Amino acid sequence: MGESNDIVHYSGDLNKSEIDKILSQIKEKLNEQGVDPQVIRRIYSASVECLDNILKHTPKGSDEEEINILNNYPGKFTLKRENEFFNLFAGNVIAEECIEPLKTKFEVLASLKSANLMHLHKKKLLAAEISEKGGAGLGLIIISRLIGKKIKYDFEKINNKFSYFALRIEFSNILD
Amino acid sequence: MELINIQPTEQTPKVVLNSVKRFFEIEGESRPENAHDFFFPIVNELKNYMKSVDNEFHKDIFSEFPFSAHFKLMYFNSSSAKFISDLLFVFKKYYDKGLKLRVYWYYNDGDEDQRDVGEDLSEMVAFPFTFVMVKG
Repeated sequence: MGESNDIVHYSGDLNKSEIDKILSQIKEKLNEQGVDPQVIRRIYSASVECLDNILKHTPKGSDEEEINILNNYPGKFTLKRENEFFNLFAGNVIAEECIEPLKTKFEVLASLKSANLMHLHKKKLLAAEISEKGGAGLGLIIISRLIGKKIKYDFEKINNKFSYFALRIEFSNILD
Repeated sequence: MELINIQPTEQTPKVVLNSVKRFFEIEGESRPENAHDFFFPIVNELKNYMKSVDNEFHKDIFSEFPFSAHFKLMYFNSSSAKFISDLLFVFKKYYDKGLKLRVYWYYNDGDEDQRDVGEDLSEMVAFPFTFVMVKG
């Protein structure tokens, strides 16, 4: 068994002020551990995008029953150090209709080589429009470019309307 | 005269546009809650300023004393990236019209990712940046 340490762990209702606290904690702890600034930047960038996604894409619930269900499945964010790797776990409830488009996005990103990802990133940046939720749809592309490998993800069905979406991103502490 | 003077917060960068000193500066971290609300007025103000100096008088001044744009962004999120490219396209438009201006892209010593981001943007807007490494 190798060494395993939680850098940060959060479960509950996220808001901007909690996100600020989590991000400060990540910077502080990784700096304390003497992690390479470039690795810190990669982890920090992915953390911002994941936290932002939890905040923007978790459904609010339209009645008491839905709100209760959502309360039972809070947003989660964990960053762990496991030997030479950092693992970021993020999870939140998403609406059922978001699953297929998201799966397609993951599959497309996983199929692209580094140069193609860069090309896609530039193309999307030029065409980006800010959605009603304030996103530009670039977050997963940025994360894929940062880690240079597949993002692992899973969907767990809650009911016909909602699923729990979890993703895991692994960062090497050693730069290429 | 400072046409834009926005002080930094934990989530948003410092932004300055000075018409007398002929410089634009954006510095710090950019992950605003609503990137559109934060950047839209900045992009508009920059467009208005650039339009106001698009004449022979200013072209002569700029040829002696070029306008400089300093991008000292140590981190920006994906929604901010869209607006940062919008700002760069404004500079590119007036550079192509003959206004002498330079874009400086700052990155920390050893942070090749941040330099790469600048290189990608420079290639995307087809406009050469001057890269400035910040030590320590």
